Amino acid sequence: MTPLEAMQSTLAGEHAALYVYGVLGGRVSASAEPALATALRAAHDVHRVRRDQVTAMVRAAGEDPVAAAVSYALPNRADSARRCRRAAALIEERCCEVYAAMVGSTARANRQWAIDALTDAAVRGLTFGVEPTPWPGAPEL
Amino acid sequence: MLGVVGTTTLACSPYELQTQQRRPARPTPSAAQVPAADPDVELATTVVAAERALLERIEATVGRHPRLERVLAPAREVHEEHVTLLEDAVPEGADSSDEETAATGPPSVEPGSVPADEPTEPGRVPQDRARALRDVAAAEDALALTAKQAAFAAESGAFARVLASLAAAAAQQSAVLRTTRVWGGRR
Repeated sequence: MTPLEAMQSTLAGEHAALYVYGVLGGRVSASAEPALATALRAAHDVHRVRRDQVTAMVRAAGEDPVAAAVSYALPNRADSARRCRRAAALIEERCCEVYAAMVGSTARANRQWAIDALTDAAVRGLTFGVEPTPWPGAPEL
Repeated sequence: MLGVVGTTTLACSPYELQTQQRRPARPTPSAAQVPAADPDVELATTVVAAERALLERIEATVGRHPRLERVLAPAREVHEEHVTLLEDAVPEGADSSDEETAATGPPSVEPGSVPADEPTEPGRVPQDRARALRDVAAAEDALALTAKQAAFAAESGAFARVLASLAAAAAQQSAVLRTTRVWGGRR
């Protein structure tokens, strides 16, 4: 995978994460599940910033950033707080994998960005019930 | 598993390493085949030393506070797995003594003058159980930082990925330990 391919793949992941977090945020009651609602909103904000950052990286590399799809399949039905939490956990786990791939395919500032994003997503996932693992983002290890 | 970061991989180009990740694991050649000058071997040695120092801290903490054994068991398992994988990347005879010294924290610190986020000296486990647990969490943070720096510096892309994942795992353990009640349950 070239650095550009890795960045485009990460950007595609950010588009998907943003979409899913947007849906999840609309399905969780801030009054009934205030902690979950806050965590979902925070995750949405983080991924929006990351999307913009990766978009800038791709542009800086001289390519057009991959566009977002019209819609994305949710990781599950997301029809309860428990399922919304699980969906968020799956999103962070998937993001960990694309960030880890980007670490392996980039260098310097772009790699540093991916290293930090991987750590953040791995820890953020705990908020949504992800179990700690020895190799976040690299499950085949 | 070890084929991903085995002794062979440190001498390969990032592209080759990415390709290897999709192949089934295969036996790796002996450590003697790794060029001694491979800078990634030095990074692996540094991180292994930091991992071992953390495991020693966990052992010392459990030795002083046996009731923390169950709380610290998952962290111990994670770091033992890290060491197992990384040891295959460090050729026999690679000296980790300098790195080990660096990884064990700051030089001698007077009791009571240790900043809240800095672990006490490795052999000195606080009498207070909660403080001892916070020290392990701080050591996890220190390991995460060491691994992130190594991931940034690694020449091999695949090895950088392994180190970044390792750093993320240490950060997860720190987060879990910081939200663990001293008698065992998560908050």
